[in-house]
Amino acid sequence: MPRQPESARRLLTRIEQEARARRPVLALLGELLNGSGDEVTRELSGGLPGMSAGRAAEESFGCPDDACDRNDLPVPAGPVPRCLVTGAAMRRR
Amino acid sequence: MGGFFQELAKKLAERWVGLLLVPGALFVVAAVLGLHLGHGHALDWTMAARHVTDRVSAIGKLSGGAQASVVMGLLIAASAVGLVVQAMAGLSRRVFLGTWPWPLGFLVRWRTGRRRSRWHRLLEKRRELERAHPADTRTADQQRAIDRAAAKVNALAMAEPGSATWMGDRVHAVEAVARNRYGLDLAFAWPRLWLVLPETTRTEITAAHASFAAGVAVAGWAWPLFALGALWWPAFAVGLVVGATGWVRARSAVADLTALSEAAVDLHGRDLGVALGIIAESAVGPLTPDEGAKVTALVRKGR
Repeated sequence: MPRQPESARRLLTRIEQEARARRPVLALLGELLNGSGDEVTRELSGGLPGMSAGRAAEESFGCPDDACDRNDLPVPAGPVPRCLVTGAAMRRR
Repeated sequence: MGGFFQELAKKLAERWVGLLLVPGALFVVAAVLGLHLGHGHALDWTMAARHVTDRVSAIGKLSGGAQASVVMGLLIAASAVGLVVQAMAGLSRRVFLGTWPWPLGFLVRWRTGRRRSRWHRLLEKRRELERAHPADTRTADQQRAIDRAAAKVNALAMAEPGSATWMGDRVHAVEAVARNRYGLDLAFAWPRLWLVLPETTRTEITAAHASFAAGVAVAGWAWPLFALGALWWPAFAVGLVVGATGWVRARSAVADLTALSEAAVDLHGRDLGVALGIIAESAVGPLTPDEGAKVTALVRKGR
């Protein structure tokens, strides 16, 4: 992890202390990120600064009644596959 | 109450000055300078300085009333340019979101097709890695390689591309997710969903949209600068910088806007089904595609 400047580390410690004491930390986060409260809220709604892209979700769908061993792999965010016999939506495995 | 209206008027005036007047005045000054210099002396700073000095001294020699008229003329011209730019915000929005007008239909189809092919190529690379390294015997490095491959797919588009631009595909992905996973046709379901969303969610989405609109407004200043660039090329270069700045801001805002909109569908899609009486209030679990299809049928009404 890259080393933070002393002032930033002090500020981070203060944010931790305030958060533990259950006091508002938005203004301090703004100070840390050099932005206004509104901007900080907006940036945080999209994800934490420096957050990774996350773990790839390997999604597959199987028979909704466990009656066969069909396994379908749709494209990411694609349509949920349906049973070719009953037309029911297949179940996530 | 008087204080409230005074404060409101002050805020509106600040907004008008910041959004229209200052950039408009800068544009008018650049236009006066650019038209005088032309392409031939585009970067002749001595000539530019002499022209500004001549103009200022000429204005200085005018009577008080004439000087006031010049200032008023400048303000009116700046406001007029600002209003034209504001009216052209729709054009910038269409360029960013890939909803280009019909003469560019072939370009939209070509770009969309290219984006879709590239997305499938990246997805195939991810699938190859997943097949080569089955989950039960996968090392941490192999998992990281798969995560990186998945991130590349998502960076291009969050669902199979259906638009000519990155921003357009972000919006398209929200629609695709709602349709594919919840059976919801957002074009018709969104206004109903909006009415059942909690106030905090609506505030977040409105703020993200305002941020997108601000990016579009910045980019809008590129159009008059491009037009001026036909007579004075440095204006074209400035227009490119301004347009790129607006594009970057709008791109970041649209990522937030679509992430929040998808989250709203995930979290409150069921509330819409309950409000319409399609799902029992006591029911639990995420909205199913069959329930969503019933919602869509109800809101589309055969249209």
